Amino acid sequence: MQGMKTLSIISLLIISTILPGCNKFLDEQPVSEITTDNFWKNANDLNTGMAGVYDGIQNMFSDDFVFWGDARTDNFKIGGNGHRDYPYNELTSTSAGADWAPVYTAIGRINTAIKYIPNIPNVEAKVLNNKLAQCYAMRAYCYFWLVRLWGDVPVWKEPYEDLAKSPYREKTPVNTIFAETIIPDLEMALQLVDATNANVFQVTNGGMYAMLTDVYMWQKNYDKVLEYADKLTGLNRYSLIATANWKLLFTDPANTSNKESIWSLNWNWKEDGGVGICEQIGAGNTSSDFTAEDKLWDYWLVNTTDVRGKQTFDYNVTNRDKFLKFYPVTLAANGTQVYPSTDQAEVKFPLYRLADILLLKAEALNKKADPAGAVTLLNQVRKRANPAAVDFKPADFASGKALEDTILFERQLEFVLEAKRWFDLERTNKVIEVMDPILSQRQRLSGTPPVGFGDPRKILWPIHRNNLNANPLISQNPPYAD
Amino acid sequence: MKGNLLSFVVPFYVKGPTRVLLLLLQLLITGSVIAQTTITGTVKNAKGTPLPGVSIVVKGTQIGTHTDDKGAWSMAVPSTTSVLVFSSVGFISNEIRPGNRTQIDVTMTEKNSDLDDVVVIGYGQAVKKRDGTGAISTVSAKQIEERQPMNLVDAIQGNAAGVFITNDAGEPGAEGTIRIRGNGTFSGGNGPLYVIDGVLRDDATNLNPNDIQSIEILKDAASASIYGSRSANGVIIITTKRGAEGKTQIGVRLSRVAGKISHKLDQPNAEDVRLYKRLSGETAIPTDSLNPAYNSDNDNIDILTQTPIRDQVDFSASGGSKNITYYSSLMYRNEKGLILNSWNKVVNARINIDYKPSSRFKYGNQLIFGFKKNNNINEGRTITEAMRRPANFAYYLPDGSFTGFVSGRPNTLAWLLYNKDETETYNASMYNYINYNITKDLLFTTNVNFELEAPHNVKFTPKILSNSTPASNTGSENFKQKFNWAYQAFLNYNKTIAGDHAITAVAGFSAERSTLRTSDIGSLNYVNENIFTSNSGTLDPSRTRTDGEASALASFFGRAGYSYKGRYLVTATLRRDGSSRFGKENRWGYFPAVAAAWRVSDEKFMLWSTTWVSDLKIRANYGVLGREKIPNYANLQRYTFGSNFYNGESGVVLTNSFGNNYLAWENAEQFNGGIDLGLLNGRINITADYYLKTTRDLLYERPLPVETGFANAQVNVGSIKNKGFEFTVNATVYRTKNIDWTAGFNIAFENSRILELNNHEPFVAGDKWMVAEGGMVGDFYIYRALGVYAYNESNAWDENWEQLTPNFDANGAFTNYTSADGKTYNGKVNRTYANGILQKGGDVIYDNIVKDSVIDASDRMVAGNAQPKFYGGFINNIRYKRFTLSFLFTYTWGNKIYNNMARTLDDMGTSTIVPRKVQLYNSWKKPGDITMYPAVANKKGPNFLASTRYLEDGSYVRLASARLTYDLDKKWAAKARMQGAQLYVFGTNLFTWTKYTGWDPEFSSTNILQSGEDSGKYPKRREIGVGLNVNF
Repeated sequence: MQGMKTLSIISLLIISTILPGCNKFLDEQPVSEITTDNFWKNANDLNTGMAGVYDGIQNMFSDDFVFWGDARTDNFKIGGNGHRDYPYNELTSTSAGADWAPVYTAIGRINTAIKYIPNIPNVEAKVLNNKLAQCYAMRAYCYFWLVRLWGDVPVWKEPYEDLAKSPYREKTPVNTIFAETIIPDLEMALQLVDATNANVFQVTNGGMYAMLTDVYMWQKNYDKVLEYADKLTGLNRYSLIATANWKLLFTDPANTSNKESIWSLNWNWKEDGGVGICEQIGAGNTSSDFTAEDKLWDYWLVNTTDVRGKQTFDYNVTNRDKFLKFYPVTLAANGTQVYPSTDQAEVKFPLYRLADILLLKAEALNKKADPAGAVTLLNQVRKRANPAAVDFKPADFASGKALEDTILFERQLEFVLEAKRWFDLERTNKVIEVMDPILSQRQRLSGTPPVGFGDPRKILWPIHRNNLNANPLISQNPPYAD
Repeated sequence: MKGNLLSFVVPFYVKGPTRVLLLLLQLLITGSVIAQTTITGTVKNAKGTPLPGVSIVVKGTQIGTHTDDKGAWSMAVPSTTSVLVFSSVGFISNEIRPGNRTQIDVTMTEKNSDLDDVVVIGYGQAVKKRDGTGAISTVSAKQIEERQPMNLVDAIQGNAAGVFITNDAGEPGAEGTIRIRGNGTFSGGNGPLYVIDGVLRDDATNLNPNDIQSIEILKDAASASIYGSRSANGVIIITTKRGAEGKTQIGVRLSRVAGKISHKLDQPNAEDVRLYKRLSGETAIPTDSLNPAYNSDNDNIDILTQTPIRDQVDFSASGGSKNITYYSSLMYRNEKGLILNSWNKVVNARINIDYKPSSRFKYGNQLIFGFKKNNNINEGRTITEAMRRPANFAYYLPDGSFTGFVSGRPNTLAWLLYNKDETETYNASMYNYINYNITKDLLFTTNVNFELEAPHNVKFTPKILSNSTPASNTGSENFKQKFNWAYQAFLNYNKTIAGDHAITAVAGFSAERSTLRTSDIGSLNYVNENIFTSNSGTLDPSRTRTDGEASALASFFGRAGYSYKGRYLVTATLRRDGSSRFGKENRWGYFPAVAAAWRVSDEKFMLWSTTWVSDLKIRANYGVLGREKIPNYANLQRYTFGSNFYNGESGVVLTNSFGNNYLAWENAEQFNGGIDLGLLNGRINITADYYLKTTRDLLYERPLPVETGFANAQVNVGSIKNKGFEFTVNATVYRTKNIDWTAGFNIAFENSRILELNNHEPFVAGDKWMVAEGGMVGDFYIYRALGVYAYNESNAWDENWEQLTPNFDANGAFTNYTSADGKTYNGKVNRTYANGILQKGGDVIYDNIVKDSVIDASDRMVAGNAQPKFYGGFINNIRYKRFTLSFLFTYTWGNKIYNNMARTLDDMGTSTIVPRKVQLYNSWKKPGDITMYPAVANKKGPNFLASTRYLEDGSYVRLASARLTYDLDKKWAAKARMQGAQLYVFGTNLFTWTKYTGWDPEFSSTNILQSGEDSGKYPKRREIGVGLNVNF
């Protein structure tokens, strides 16, 4: 029994000497990351935190920009390797693009920034406010994308910071989101913004006016459209780029000769890797999942003086599955475009530019029974692209609808792959009118029953199964099945 | 020689006063033996074969010797009243008083029962099997040898009840999974804790199975709880071979194994592809004779696979003197994989040395060195691509160059031949221990282990594989450095008082820390395609970075046991563990356990039965176990950076996972009741165990709604109840001089139910598993397919949603509906819509659970479970003279498999993938067809929803291994200066009886909540091999 006693004494000794040291031993701090109490402390954190916010917007568009904005439209049909989801309107809850996670990740970063930026010490209020303004504008922008794609969605305007609180939120109706989030955020942004900031890779007051124009156009509030479009032009900062320089809008928006771009997203493969949508627009080692639809392809085959055609599609690729619009001109010896490989592809996403706002204004003027004003703007954009074109005259249009269709077609030509076409169709209630006959024809050709567009509720996207699984308070957008 | 070696080793390792003491001891030992009477003799077994290596000791002294390879021995015995003890593993010990004899020949009897075998229970403690209180399965070196295992999983499979093994053998170096007593947890890391020679580890990857002396599987809480926080999924204790005193034993083993895919699937050929095109309504079937997409007829699996061959050489040497023993081994394996151009080379070396200069002091170490080089060919992706590539796509153009992507499908053959992805891994570990007997009963042990693993990976894709214009090459280099140290110190106390009261106790502490550092360098446009260092290429900053992480654990533990005459046994255990992975408040956890056993057969009232009941023991125990296998830093909310650039600025962003500072241990409370029964003097041994395990505060990665900005958080939530029954019987069926037949059978029944979930909310894991209270883990939540609409008009249901039968007139025009009772139906006709489209002839009929016109997510149901109802193994060893045949059947029963490979091939979502022939030929083709397979032309998503159409029975019975050995006659062996030699042929995965239509019903699922989905990655192999073992 002596041994037993010795054993317990030794054990006690060991425990009492070692235990206090243990807690320190167990405090492992991350090797390559930092904890929350070490961030948003100084001017450097402000800049790197904002870069994180913009990175969130990049991630939103990297993979899904084309799926959301162009894939379901009459710009593209199926390619040799393509999935049927988009060109045949067969979206399901697992289609690429149905997952809204990247949008909400960006919103989460913005909400965190909005909470912590005001408390950063030793930075001028003007600087802080300008960053806050960008955050508010980008939050409005994110929700604007969400409601256009999925309709009613949950709204978060503050960071989620406590697991004890429910992470689940129900959907908020679209109208409430516009009234209580999108428009107030943009107005707040305009109050805080530094009006001298003209960096095309950041959201400036120009970007905020452009967003408001776009938002009110969606709401069919044409007075407000005209108000904000005029405020934008009133900045005297923007003008249409010269015909010969049209390409710069996409390859070098920061170029001093470009005064048209309002907000573009920067992309640098050396920092960001290859952009995801190169899989949809074609790259050196892959062709697009889509091919150019006949109408556009053929239009530019005929209208060769329009500079946009050959700078949008690659007419040397007869499969029509390579789109060179966003890539710098790099020519091989035989004169064909050399595409970057997928891991080096860069797209400097043109999110807003003056041509967009001018044509929106033209639409609004048309709606306000001012065809002359509308046609003037339409001609500006049209002639810039095709100086040989004959000017339209108001008398050329029998009705407001005819003029509207012509403006929309001009927008289609101007903004291929810029994520405008689908939303133009959606906001003008023309999805069924335009897509139904095209889909029926595609279905007939592929041997499937020509059911056309089908249920009009399919204009909205299905919510991804993962999103549904993670939040029991939301349900699938009808009529999507799974 | 012995003396020299000793004096060489001593100064090397011991310093100061101890060294003097040791040297004195050495003098005492070597100087104290004075010969009195010399006795000689031989030892043989019942068959008259001489037994080498039998230990002969003068009882109560340290005087002893061993028999030589002819079974002969000779020893000086101090007194005629001395008692000689003859002992050898597997034989009953003999005690003999020599008296005045000078020649003693002994015949040793083989043990029928293994009750005297020692079972290792951790931290220096071991008990005789007869004295155990827990549920422990053991696998011996002999059992391992009979399997010819590739890895640990192979060695255990079918040998232990309640241990569910999934053997992924197929890919070179694949490890498979081990799951003890059901799914007790939600998240990854369902594997047990490994304790290899006392060192706690999460895996046993670098272990050579031939080095294993014994494997102990601690299944119950009382046994495992000494390992506390990491023991919730059971503990596997592995003891490697160590040297034994005596002449050097040299073993050489050679084997060569060849394999093939055991179940090759039928793939559509070019003619089938054309049929598919016709059926899909493609009017223009291209015939361009120059187009690589149209004019081949390849068997992709044949083209992309080769005959796998594995050569292995094992060399071992062991032996030692009284003061120093050693075991050393070297293994070399050269493997050619199943996939073309896949290979794997492994060298493992081990040295185990134990040095015992005195009876009180022992020092030893284990040194392990390993080298592995393999060509990382992703077998899964290659096989998947082989199945997806239509047979008519060519690999070569007429000029001999490779086709690139054809309609989006890569040229896998070119990738296998030219893409470089090689990993070279060095690993080394050094383990040192000291045992010191403070008193006769009190033993102090301290040990420290250092382990380093450094994989180096080189990837390179040359220009020939590039389809960029102009062609470019790209590559990367990756270095990892994993380092772990672990320290333990503990005291063992063993005392028997008055002959009847045996007390054992252990107490101690341990600490360990693991670190990982990685660096990646991405490059492109290499100047030279044979030089892969980064100077050859241009640095790609977006793929170049370094990273690191670390974790730490600290523990205190103790166990005490008491036994009265080996009849009444009790033990109690307590462990306290702290982990860096948890929140500060919940960092420490306590893990207690108690156990008791009663040897009924030793009671007086059982005396009547001793002739046939040789042993009967009842056991009961209860304990709490823990689990901490979660990612590092999950307890901290973190900002990350380095891959979130914008416009030249490195962005700082919150991690996707929400940091949970309340994170704590997962606790598994387990009750175990068991019975051990030995019959007919140990000829039949039966063990039965029942357990009830409730796991609480389950650690799992809870998906957060992404609307919060986070994807998930590690949380402690919910509980699962596992109950099960395990039964093992081992028997000597028949034994004579020439024939020896032993057999073992085991079976385990398992049932796991989910007791509680976060907020009691059920959720769907992945896209097809329901996780709900009262449900089971692995419940498939899918649509139930009832058939295919025969006519467009068949989509008709009455007001109660009973299907109506359409009637047609002579011209085939629809007339009216009749209901099930045969009467004409004139009421309201309901129709079903899927994805908003009216379902027609050739579309799948789904069970419309919510009786409305929409087939949607709410019509899903729990349609089966991925967990087997029972599983086990059946082993036989039959020896006839010098031939031994051993074979093992394994079986698994009652589980369902979701054949996702079939679904992805069938769904026609991607234009180039051709459906399986069974779908193609049995599809609905014209109105009136009755089939389960939808029309090919109806390429609509809803026909390929996750449904019972792809849910299959996963039960199987398999002849997992068989081996026929010929033991060379010792006389013949001796002529070649060998002690023995064995020649054998063996096979694995020889036959399988199953209804499953995929590659193989046995595959592992990494995500427990999403188990039982076969994505078709691993066709299993059948292997046949020959081998030679020689002992010198």
